[in-house]
Amino acid sequence: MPTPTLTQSIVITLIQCLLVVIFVFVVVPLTVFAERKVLGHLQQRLGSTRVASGHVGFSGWMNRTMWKMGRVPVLSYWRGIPGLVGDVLKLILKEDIMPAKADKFVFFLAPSISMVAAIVVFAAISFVPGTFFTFPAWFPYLGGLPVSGGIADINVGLLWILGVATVGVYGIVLAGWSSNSKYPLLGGLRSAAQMVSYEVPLTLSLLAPVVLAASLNFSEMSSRMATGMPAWALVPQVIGFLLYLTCGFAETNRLPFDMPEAENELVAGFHTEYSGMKFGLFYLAEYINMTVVSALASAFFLGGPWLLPFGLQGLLNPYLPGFLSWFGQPHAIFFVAKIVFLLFTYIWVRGTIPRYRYDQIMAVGWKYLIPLALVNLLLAAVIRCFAV
Amino acid sequence: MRGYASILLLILVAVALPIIILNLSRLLRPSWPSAAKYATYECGIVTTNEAREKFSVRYYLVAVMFLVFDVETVFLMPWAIQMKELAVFGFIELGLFLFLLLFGYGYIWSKGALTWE
Amino acid sequence: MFITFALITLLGALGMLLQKNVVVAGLCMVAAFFGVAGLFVLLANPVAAALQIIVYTGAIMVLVLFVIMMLNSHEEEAGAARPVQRWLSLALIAVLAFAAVKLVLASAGLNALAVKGAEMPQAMTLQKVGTTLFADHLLGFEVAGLVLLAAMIGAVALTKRNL
Repeated sequence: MPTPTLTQSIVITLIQCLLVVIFVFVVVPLTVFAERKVLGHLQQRLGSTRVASGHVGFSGWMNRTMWKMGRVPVLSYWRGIPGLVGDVLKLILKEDIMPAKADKFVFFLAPSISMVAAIVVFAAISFVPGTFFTFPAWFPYLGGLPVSGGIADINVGLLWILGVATVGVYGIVLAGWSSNSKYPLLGGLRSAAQMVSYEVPLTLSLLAPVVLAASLNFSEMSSRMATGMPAWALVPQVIGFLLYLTCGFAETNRLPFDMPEAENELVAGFHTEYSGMKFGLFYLAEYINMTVVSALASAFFLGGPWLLPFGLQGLLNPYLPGFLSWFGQPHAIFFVAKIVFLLFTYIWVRGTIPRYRYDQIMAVGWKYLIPLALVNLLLAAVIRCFAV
Repeated sequence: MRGYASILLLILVAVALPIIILNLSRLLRPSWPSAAKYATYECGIVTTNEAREKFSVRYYLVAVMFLVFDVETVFLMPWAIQMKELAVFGFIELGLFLFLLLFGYGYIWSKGALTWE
Repeated sequence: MFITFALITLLGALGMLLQKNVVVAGLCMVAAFFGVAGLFVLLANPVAAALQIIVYTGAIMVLVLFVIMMLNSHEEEAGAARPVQRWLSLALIAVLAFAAVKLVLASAGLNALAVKGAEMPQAMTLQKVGTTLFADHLLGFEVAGLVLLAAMIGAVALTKRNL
C-alpha cells in the first residue's frame, strides 16, 4: 500500500471532512422528516403523514399513473416529503430579521458557534476502525490510497468530544444575551444551567465504558467492547446506558427536557428573535448534536460498527438474512444503523413523555443522576476487577 | 501529530460552513426592512424595560457546582483509564478523594443548594 | 503553526483587555484559551490541550460569562481611569513582562529546547498522567480534593442567605 504524500493526505482529509458534512446534511433532513412522520403516527395527527397523499399535483399524477399500470404507488411511502421541502425552502428564503437592539456581531456569532461546535465533534468520531475504503487504482491522483474511517482517531478522543461539546453552551447563552430581549435571555440562561448540570452525570456515565475498555480512543473502545470484552458495554452497563441517554436528551435540549423552548413559558426560548437561516443553523446544530449523542452511545454502549456481540455472529450467520453477510465486520453501516435507531428513540420519547418542570429537571440532575452515575462507575470498576 | 492536523482542517471547514451558508441565503432571501420588524419581541406589546436585568444568583451557584464537579470528573479520567494498573492503592486514593467530595456534596444538599425554588 | 497559535492567544488576550463590551471580551478570552490549547498540542501534549478546553472554556468561562451577565449594568462605569492610574498600570505591566521574559530566558530548559532538530518528545497520554498523578503527586491530588470541597462550601456560603 503506497504511503500518501503530504498534499495527498491533506486532500484525503478534506474528502473526509466533505463526507462528514454530506453525512450531516443527509441525516439531519431525514431525521426531521422521520420526526414529523413518526410523531404524526404516534400522536395520530394526520397532517404530516398525509401531505402529498397522492391526490393532487405531480405526486397525484404519478400515483394515478401507477395505479393505472396496476402497481401500488411507491410514492405514497414518501407522504410528507413536501412538508420537508417546504421547511427547507422556508428556512433559506425567509427574511433575516435582527432586532435593532441586538448586539450585531454576537448575534451572528452565536448560531455559528453552535454549528461549528456540533460539526467539529465529528473529528474524533470514527465510523469504522482502520480503512473505510480504498481509492481504486485508476482514480486520478489518489489511486490506491486508503481513507480511514475517522478524521482523527486520536488517543484522547473522548476528551476531545467532551471538550468541544461544552463549547456548544456558548452558542445558546450568547444567543440569549445578544438578542437583548427577555424571553431569549431567560431561555438561554435556563438552557445553559440545564446543559451544564447534566454534563456531570453524562461524563460520569461515559467513564464507565472507559473503565471497562481502558481506552479513550473511539475505535479502540468499540472494538474492545465488541470483541475483547464479554459483551457490549450495554449488558453490564444497562444503568449507565439509560443514564447516558437521559443526560444526552438533556444536553441536546430535547423533550422531555426542552426547557429552553418551553413554548408556553418562554415563547421559543433562546432563538425567539432568530429567523431565516440563522435560526436554521440552530436547528441544524440541534439535530447534529442528536446524531453525535447517538454516535457516542452506539460506539460506547452498543458495539459501534460490529453487528453482534459475544461472537454470536458466527453462530447466527446461517440464520441471518443473506444481505448482512455482504458487509464485512466491522462495517460502518452497522454503526450508522445504530445511530438511526437511537435517533428514532429520540423521536419516540418525544412523542411519549411530556415536558418536566424546570425545578424538577435541576433536582433530578443534581440529586439523583450524579450519585447514580457514581454508583454505576463503581459497578463498572468491580466488573472490571473480577470479570475481565 | 498528523491526527491533530486533520482536526485543524475540519475546524477550518466547519468555520467556513456557516459563513458560506449565511452568505448564500443572503443572496436568496428578500429584505424589506421596517421599524416594527426590528423591534424587540414582547408578545406584541411595546417593550417596557431593558431585558438585561439582574437575575437569580442560583445560576451562579449552578455554574460553581458544575466547575467543581467538572474538575472532579477530570481527575477521575486518568484513574478510569488505568484502573487495573493502579490497583487497590489507586482505588483507596480515589476513595479518599471522592469521600471529600461526597462530604461536600452532602453538605450542600443539606443546605438546600441543590433544590431549585 | 506556532506563530499562528501564539498570535491567536496574544490577540485574544489583547482583545480581552481592550474590548469595551464585556461579553465580547469574554469571547476573546475563549479564543485565547483555544490558542493555548493549540500550543499544548504543538508541545505533544494533547491531554493538556483537551483538559484546557474542558476545564477552562467549558467550565470556568461559562461561570465568568454568567457573572458578567449577572452584573450586566447598563450604566457606564463611573468615570474613566485617571492618567496617573493609567501610567502606573502601564509601568507595572512593563516591569512584570520584563521579569517574566528574564525568568524564562534564565531557565535551564530553554536551551535544551532550542537545539535544532531536537527529538520530538513522546506524545503525552492519559495513562502517563494517571501513573504520575497517582504515584508521585499523591498529596497534591488529595489536596486538590480538599480545595474542591472548600470551593463547594464557599459557594454555598456566598449564595445562600440563610444558612
